[in-house]
Amino acid sequence: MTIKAIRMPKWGLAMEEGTIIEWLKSIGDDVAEGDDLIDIETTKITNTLQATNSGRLVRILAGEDEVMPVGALIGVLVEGKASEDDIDAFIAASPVAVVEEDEGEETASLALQTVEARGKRINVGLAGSGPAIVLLHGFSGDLNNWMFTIEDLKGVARVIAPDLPGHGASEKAVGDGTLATMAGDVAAVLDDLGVADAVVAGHSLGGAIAMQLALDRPDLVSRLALVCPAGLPGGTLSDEFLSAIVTAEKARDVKKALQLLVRDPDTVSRDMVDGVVRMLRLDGAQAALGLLRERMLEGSDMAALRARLGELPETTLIASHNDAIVGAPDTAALPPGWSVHWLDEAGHLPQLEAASRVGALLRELI
Amino acid sequence: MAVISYRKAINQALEQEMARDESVILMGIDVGGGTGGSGDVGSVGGVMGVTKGLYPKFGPDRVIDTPISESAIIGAAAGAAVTGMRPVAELMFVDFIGVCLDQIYNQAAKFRYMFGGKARTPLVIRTMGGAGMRAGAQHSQNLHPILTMIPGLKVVMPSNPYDAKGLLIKAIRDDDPVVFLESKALYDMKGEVPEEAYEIPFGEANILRDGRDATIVAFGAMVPRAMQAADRLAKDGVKVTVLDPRTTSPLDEEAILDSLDETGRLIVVDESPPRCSLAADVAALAVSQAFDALKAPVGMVTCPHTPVPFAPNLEDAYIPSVERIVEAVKNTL
Amino acid sequence: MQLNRDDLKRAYRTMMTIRAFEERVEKEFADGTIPGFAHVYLGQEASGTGICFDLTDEDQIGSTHRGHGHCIAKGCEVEGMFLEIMGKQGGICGGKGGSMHIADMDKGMLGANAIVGGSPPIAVGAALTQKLRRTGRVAVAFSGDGASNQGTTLEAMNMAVVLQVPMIFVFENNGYGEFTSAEYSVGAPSLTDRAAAFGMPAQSVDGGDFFAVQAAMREALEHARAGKGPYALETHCARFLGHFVGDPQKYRGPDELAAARANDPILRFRSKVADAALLETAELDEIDAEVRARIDAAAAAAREAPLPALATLEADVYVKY
Repeated sequence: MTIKAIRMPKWGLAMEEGTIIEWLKSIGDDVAEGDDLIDIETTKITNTLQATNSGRLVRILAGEDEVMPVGALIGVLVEGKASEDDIDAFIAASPVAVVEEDEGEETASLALQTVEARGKRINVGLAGSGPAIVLLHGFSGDLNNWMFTIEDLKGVARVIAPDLPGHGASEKAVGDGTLATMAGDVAAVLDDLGVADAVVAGHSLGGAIAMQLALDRPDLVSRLALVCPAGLPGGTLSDEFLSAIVTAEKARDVKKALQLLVRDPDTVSRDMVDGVVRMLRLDGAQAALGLLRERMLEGSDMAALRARLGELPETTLIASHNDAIVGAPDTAALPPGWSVHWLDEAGHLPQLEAASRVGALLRELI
Repeated sequence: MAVISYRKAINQALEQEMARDESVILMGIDVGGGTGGSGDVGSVGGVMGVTKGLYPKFGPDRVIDTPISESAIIGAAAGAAVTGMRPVAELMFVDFIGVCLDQIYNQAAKFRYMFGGKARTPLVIRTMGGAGMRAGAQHSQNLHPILTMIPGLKVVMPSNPYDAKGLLIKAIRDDDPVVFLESKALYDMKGEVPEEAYEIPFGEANILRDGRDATIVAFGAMVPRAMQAADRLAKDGVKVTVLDPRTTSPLDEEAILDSLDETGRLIVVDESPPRCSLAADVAALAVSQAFDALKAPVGMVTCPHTPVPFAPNLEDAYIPSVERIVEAVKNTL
Repeated sequence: MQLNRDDLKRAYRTMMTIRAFEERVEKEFADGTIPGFAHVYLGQEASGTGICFDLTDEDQIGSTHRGHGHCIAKGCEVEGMFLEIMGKQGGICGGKGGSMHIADMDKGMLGANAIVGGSPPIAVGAALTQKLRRTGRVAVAFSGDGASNQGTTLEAMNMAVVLQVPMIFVFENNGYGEFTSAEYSVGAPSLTDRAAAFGMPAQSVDGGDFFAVQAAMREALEHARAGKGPYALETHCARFLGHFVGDPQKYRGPDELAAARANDPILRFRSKVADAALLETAELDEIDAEVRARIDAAAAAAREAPLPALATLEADVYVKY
């Protein structure tokens, strides 16, 4: 007999509490490790907690709509048989909340550093140690798009997640806005940090930048992971999204745009919108994004990239048929040897919508 | 991101806009401080220290100490604005609008309309309001209702450091006259504020918290109190939305009505006497535009119909308290 | 500096335009084509003309409720003014300002102002812009004897001295603030004494004499443009009519009214230039005829013009709201 606690997870550094939206299993259900267990809303996004153990769900200690602190006991699983008394004793003996012990160390696990890359001020998030993995966010995103991924990877890798030029806390100047310029800036960041031979993961526009980086600086990129990347054959590019972001004036405009990114519009939380709104308000941010949008729509950078896919290193592709932004790439047109994973439960943001699957796939590359 | 005070956020907005645009000037009583004295000039930076450090940086042509002549300060700022500058005039305490209101509502606010759309008056009047400082009846009012009813004027009431910076930058860049009503009670409030310049649009409410049971609309210094009330209510299982309109003119009616649609209950917290207050205004909005959505009478948490008293216990009783907000929400349930 | 024939013609044309305009306003008002009420500048033409004679479009003036003459002297078009005063479409302010709120920013006319003492603080600000931008231009605040007693005016005078702005305070003393005499209501011995007490040079001139006003204004302009701070001028004028059109003026004796008419600034100008043989009477008559024809046409057109579109009711409250 083993009694296992189900606790409120900590997704991302800012998470302090979560709201139970829905239990996806009922009392008495058998749960296998990896099963979807609970939909939990955080201030950033609604996500699904997957079981980290197997067993029978015997207790639900926090019902729908309840807000529980990170680490709080919210349910109990039993493997084998246990009496009600054993379970009660387990609950009674459990600390009310288990929070990762050393807050200081935990905070230090995502250090923000400013790097001067070719004269541009670039904000970089750094976590963990080991082989290097670089995470490049997409158009109008920032390094926080990878918050779940960083949590997943920091135990096994040195995670390097910059805010791309024009984004987040990095400088707003994007130069001519070409993929070559953006990739060159990323290369300068990696050179400054002494990184070589890294796994480079890129999402959306960041995926295209990752490919460009692999072509321009093969010494830096050992493997590629492309998460819903822009630029692949058969893909599209939603200008509905791009132009909405570039012209948005109010939070409600931004929310509508962000809802295009995800499969379930309800997963776009107020905090997620606020984060993007705050970034877009900074002087020069929308102008920079406008330039990047023009380059993307003009298309020559992406076309050049498509012509050279065969030169890329070993590549893992994560995509979704429900991606409303870049669409579903034509896998038949990809070079042989790419490892393709369809995460159709997600829209364009699998690293948030299907965080644990993306985390698992990326961990495999390290 | 840097954590700075509301006071510093305002200072930073002024400094960045002055550095960006030469037509931005400050004028008012002691905005530099000490002009003509025998000691350090420009070392004061306003009676609350909000403009500290700007005189040494920008000099007497752009940080202009004036006589204590509010009509001349506001009038001259309006005149400078309509002829091409972007003055930020400091009115110190909003209580002093009594001695310069003509220059605000008859002059600056009307130029554009009276002159058939041919005038632009990019004037910002920075002033502070609110009780709680034991400052007595003539230094403690919050006169936003008087200002809000004036066509041609925009009125901003920032409730936190992030908003203070972004709204002030917007006010300075805006081409209409704006009254930027700072809260004395919030000057030391700290929060994350980007170092870069950014604009927060006018007429867009900030929703600080979501809850389906009721909507609390609060202004300026009442916003943190509404948040405290929301925390207490949450312990009793009552979940409220807290909405800060940020600007009373323009007012984000859409956000208020949308929220009311979801919750059906409205409580307005306004640090001002009840008659012709923003509480009355928002209540009227709800009743006239969303009568069917209302599940209970609108709760109005305001000050009494009195001047601001001096004695600490009386003044504390004058300001809407967290307890009164909680009670008002419960009354609607 | 001597005025040449063109200058004299320009001055006369301005004064005569004001005269004809205001007489026409009087008539139109009687006919009921002007809504509300109107304050006319009849009898004070030489003052506004002399003050504005050497100003450019970049110099700015703030005016009063009795502002038609200042507008014309500063270059506003009478066609747009008639439309405005009648509340018509195409008025200089779209029909939304009316007689007391005529403004034309392109001409440096910052607005007539229906608040007594409203303009001086604003003109200080305009002068501050001139100073900070180092334009070498000035701002002028017109006030009457009534406004000289307003706190705003006194605050503005002190502020102008403190900030050393290039500004000229013009007090057109027509003897009455509404229906109460300046003799009674101005406590100081004179307006120039009062202005001097603020620390600025001041002089008093005969406001019925264009040449005296223009010469004094040149001195004031030289002072202000040299960066020496503000200057004050008092122009003694005589209102032909009352406070507003239709004021029976029982508070003024018949002798006073007769003296005002006898001292008509336009007649004085005519005789002065004729006596000095600077302009022919025929030339002046020709200007009269041209001006009257223009005023007739402008007033007639304004009478026929459509009212503003209702859609403009809510337009132009803000640049963007």
